[in-house]
Amino acid sequence: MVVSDIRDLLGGALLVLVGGATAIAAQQYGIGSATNTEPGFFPLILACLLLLIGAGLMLSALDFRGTKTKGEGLRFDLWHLWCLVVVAGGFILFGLLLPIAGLFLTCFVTIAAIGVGSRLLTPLGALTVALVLSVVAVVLFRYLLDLQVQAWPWGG
Amino acid sequence: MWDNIVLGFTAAGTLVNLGYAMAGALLGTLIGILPGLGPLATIAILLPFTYGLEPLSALIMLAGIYYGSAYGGSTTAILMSLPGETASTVTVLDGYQMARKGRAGVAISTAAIGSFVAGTIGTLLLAAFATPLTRLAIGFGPSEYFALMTLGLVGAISLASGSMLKSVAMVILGLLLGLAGTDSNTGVQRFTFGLPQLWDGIDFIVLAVGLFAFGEIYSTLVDRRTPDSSANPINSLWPNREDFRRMIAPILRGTGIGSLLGVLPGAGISMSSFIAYSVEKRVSRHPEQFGAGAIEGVAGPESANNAAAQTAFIPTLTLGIPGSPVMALILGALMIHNIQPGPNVMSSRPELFWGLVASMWIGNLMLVLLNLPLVGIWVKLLSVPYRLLFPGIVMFSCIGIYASGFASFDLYMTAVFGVIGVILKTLRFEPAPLVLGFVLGPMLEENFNRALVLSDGSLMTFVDHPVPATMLGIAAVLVLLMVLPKFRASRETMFADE
Repeated sequence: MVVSDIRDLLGGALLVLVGGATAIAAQQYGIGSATNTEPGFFPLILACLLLLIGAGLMLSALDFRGTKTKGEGLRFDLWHLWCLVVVAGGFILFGLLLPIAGLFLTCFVTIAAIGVGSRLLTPLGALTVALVLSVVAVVLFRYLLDLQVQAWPWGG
Repeated sequence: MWDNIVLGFTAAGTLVNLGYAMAGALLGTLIGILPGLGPLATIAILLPFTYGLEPLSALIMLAGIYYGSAYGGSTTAILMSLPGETASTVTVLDGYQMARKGRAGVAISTAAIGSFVAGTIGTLLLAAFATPLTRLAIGFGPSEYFALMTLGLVGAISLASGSMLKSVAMVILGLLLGLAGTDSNTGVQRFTFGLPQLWDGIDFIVLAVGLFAFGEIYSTLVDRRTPDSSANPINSLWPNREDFRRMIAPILRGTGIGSLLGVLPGAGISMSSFIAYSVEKRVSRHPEQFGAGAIEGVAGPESANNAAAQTAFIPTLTLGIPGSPVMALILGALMIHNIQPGPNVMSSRPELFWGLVASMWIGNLMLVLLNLPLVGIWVKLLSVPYRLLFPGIVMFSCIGIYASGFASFDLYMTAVFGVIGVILKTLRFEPAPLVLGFVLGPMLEENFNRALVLSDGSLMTFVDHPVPATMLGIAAVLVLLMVLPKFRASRETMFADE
């Protein structure tokens, strides 16, 4: 027996996990009965469907008689993880900084960080792009569109 | 019908609204033209900027954004062989070949002219069929609605590409995400993980940007794919007499195919361009020219996909049931403006409904008027290296999300959904069906529960009555067809073909 498609096996396992967790949560919301449904009724049905599909997907990913895996394996290495961290980090950094530092500084720091992090820009290039875009953001959103957001660290 | 159209044009045709239509078309094209950003990501990024407007102005701007993004996508497909969505993969086949022969301008104008003709006919069809369909829908009870939504979801899955089982799983996951928040009947908080920020449910825009825009940025960074921007030279913009002669029939045929398929619940929009292309190839006396720069191969699919985009509004607006992920986004936008799409919109807010219908045509017109003269500028934009563009995309996405709710929490949630989206994509799950489920989740549950209350808890209510029974029957047949190996094989070849 071999795993013929690792993606389907992992995906199926994920669905089983989510389905199971949902089913447990649904019980806490109350199931009720068909005549008098409680908030957990519909989610429980969906959870059961997810469990079924997840199990089916896992089974279909296993080849009981085969000897070798088909297709390419999972494509996720350190570089993928790094890119994920850079993009997700950009959004989180923006959210963290904006209430404290104001629009200009937030845009500048976020863009410079993802620019360097992505390795598509040189440090100097990233700083230049960040400066230009931050000015555009403040002029466009704060002063032209009058977005109600603090522009500078000291307000304004 | 004409009274309604006049009403629509008076509501939508004010100078301010025309300005918004123009701004929408411009912005939509501007973002949509960027490689990798399809209509879904474009609309998701620009959506928050329409929140502050009057409902009608916002919808008009949104229509402009929608058509602009679709048009921008075709431009990138033609010039750089980079389709932003499934529908424009077909445009690449002959459009890019035309571009390589220095006929990029002709290909782009053909796409614009075809889209405009198709959009005009589609708008007329929408106006003609909206009233009778709405009358039909007003008689619908909860069991009919439940059956119709199920049919819509199954239809969407059956026509989507990729694994069927996985698409179903994505729809269900979307339905569950849609249920998160405070239950409207009992006040119970579901799936909120104890976070008060989730009491009102998951923000639609957060989900959309996380799943689509975030995903596009991520995959570009991973692949280090800096698209080839040695844009092909544009010799002439206007099609010559021979071109015009050759594009008329394909435009009309494409419009017919698209109009029919667009109404069907499901991914009719991308299907229509595939079908239009194969029809053109079949009826052509020179099928060997296809794939080598045949103008018919651009005119047919582009008209079909625009006509389908237009008629897809029919079920979205009259029944409140989106047939495609883009329609789900538009529906989400309507809800943000406190408009519950469905048969009642037309009677309770006629100026809004007909204004939107009129604005679609205005959006199409703006596109032609703006973009034919601006093609040169768009081509220049494509020669800006991607490494300089993507920080801007991230920034606009962040500001857009923040502006939609003024809460940093939304940005964190976007990152969470972005990561989820990347995991799903890595495991080859398509995130698009998830959005359909997300929008329909609360409605589906509501109608399901109500139908059960009315029938005293008997599930037979869904099969006892002819209308829901027929719809669920069709849905069941579709599921069976998908499971049968023969159909599965033909479905795979359909998407692998051409």
